[in-house]
Amino acid sequence: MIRAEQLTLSYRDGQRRLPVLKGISIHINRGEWVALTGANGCGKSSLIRTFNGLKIPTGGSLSAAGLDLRSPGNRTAVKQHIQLVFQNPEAQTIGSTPFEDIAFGLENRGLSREAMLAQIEKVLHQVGLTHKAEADVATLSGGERQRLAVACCLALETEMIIFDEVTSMLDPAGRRDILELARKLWEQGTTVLWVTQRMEELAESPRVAVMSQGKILYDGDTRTLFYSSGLPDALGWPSAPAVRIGQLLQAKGWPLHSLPLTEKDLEAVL
Amino acid sequence: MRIQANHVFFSYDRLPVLTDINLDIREGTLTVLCGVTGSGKSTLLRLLSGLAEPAAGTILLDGGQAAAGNVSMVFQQPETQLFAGSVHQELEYGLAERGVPGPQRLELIRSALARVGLPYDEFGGRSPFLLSGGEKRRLCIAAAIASLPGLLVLDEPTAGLDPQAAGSLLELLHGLRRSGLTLVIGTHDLDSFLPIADEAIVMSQGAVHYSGPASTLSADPLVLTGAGLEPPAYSRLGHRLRQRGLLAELPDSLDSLLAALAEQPLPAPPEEAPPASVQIPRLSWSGGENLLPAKGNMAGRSSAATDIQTASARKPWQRLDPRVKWLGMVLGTLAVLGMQALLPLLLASGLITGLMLSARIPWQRTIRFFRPFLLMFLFLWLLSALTWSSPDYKLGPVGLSLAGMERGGLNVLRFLLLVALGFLFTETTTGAPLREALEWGIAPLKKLGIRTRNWSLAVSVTLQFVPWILDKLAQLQLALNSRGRKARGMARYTPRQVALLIVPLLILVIGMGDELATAVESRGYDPTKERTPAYLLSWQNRDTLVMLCILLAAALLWTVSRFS
Repeated sequence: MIRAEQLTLSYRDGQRRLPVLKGISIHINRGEWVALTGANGCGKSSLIRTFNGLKIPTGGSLSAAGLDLRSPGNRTAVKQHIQLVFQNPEAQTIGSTPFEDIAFGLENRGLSREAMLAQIEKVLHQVGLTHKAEADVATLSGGERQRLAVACCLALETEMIIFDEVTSMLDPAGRRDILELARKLWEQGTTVLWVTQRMEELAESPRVAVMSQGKILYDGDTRTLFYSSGLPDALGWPSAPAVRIGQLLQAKGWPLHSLPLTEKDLEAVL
Repeated sequence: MRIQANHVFFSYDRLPVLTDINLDIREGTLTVLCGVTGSGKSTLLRLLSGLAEPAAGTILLDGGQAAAGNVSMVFQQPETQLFAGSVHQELEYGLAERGVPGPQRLELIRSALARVGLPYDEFGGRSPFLLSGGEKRRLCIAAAIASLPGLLVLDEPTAGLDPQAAGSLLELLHGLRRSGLTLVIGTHDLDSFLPIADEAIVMSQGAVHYSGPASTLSADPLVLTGAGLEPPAYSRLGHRLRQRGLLAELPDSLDSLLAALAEQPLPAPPEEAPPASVQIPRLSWSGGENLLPAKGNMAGRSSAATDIQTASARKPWQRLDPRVKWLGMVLGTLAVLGMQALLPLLLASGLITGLMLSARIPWQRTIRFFRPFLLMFLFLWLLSALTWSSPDYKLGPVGLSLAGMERGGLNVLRFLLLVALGFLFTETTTGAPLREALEWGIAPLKKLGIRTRNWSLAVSVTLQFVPWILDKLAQLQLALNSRGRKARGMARYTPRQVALLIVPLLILVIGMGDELATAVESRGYDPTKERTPAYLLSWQNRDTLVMLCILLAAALLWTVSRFS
């Protein structure tokens, strides 16, 4: 789905150029769930914005959904395949009702009006917002707004959705809702790149990529990251509780048939 | 500082938000206030910090009313509570508002910055807007504690921070608690805050569901689940470890859980391991079945009901073709701009009021929209009446002129009518019809090379965000109030206040514009392509009728203003 090789990106700051991405190589396969993490300002947001053509890399090669993103035409075309859900629920609704918001993205698709209305109805149902189709978006909760943003991606029949810290401004109920929705889509075949700073969300992903200062420090299996890479300690992360208990049990010589990452894993181990 | 709430009630838009709140918070404690969204948590925080008054009941601080500067509040988003050009000025503002004499300020500023880990020599001269997320939060806390308050109230202090920044902020708050400051913290993050809290208050549906020692919440998860909240992870895990005989007692933090587990001689593990769990699981979500809160809480339910009611009441207006509404707004604006005398302005006021009543826009919404304009206009009116040269009434060095008052009053009224027309239009027209009609109206300009589709989109998105901007303005005002001056009415719009508000508001608006532009681009917006409109313009007989009425009314207003 994504093939990035030695990707670089820098911004102009007066006379100088500030490097933001310093040679990133990452491959994401179709149907995968990958979590991407790193401290604020490490370049995560810039990286994912290159994946759907919102930012143009200054060097390296990048293809997404089989399109070479060095060509400007492909940077528009890629948006049909890869969509982003942004962090701030308030700053991504363009219509004043959920219906209008979803319609906005469909306007340029050359659909008939009937097909468009049917599509809107379908995705509103998928995210559970049918009863709010005509509501003023200002009355939606943060969680509902994020689900609406997902509906907009679904309407475009996108193959991959990048979630950019979508839970960071939500309450626990909203967070649970959007995670469950993402998981459902993933199980139906959507490729998911889940950007987060929350340890429990990392622990629940099969693969994690860790960024720091424009580089990828780690990309691989989540168990290896938490149990043998030493990286979480080096970065000062408070690991997820199940992991810390697992580490303790491991140190005490408890024969673990599998190293726990989540509470459910721990349950199974015990 | 001891805080006592006795039979406190509060309602918003006639909906009860808090009912019969009784609390007694001891001096020098750290109290966690939790509850699902919509449980009344944020409102209670505002009442405790004196930024809102209870509708009934009393809140006593050390047995009486709070003295200025004795309670400070830090809000969730730093972006809506930083104003000044430098870190030093940010802190000095609050101290000045609270009447601290100039010579004492520097020492207080230095000490407050030191307490939050932002050394004065390094940070004093820097711009608050260019600090990192974690540093901004620290600065907000420094600004709140600079005046040495007895009570510090915080709303979601760690939300949105990365793990390192959140961890060190937690340390900072723990340190403040040890120094004797009384803290009340509203949060969803029970994993972080319960272990360091002395007391806890759990809110549910506007009432106190639990108030007492924080340790009870760790020991009895049902208290939290009963209020729709999920117990912290250490409590859920501790519960299960105890069920398996691996822990003697329920832990009150993750550290105590790990410590107890480390001491425990572990029994031999079960012999036959369940094979299914050996494989890497597909995503598994946390939370045991028995401890998970019931899904779907009260939040949002009542508002959904009101949405439906108001929507159906506004139907006749929404059924109108948006072009006829555009016509009404444009002609109305021209007519109002041409008015120089009181009579036509009063006539237009009557007409617009009638229209607003017929649109049945919720009263509270109208008030919320007009309040900032009213106060600003009132101020402008007074300003236009001031004169040095030929005063009718003298007030010390300046005077008030009757002619100036009349002229200013008419101008202010005209402005208000224009704002009212815009309000009426946007309240009865959603973004898509507004945009379609505008694009239809300006289509001839396409021949001149003007990108009409971009323009109509920009206008409809901007209009949609006017309420958002007013909302942010209100948040900034509240944050200014929390710095000491409880400005009400016109005092909120003195030139000094306005100057303080303008920079953060501009930064917020520009940031929002930037994010929206990215969202528009990300959705594959392409003005060069043919597009399928979701909303179809269709002109009906009733639109012709309404158009005739508009033309008639505009002609009438024009005639009256011509001959009066």
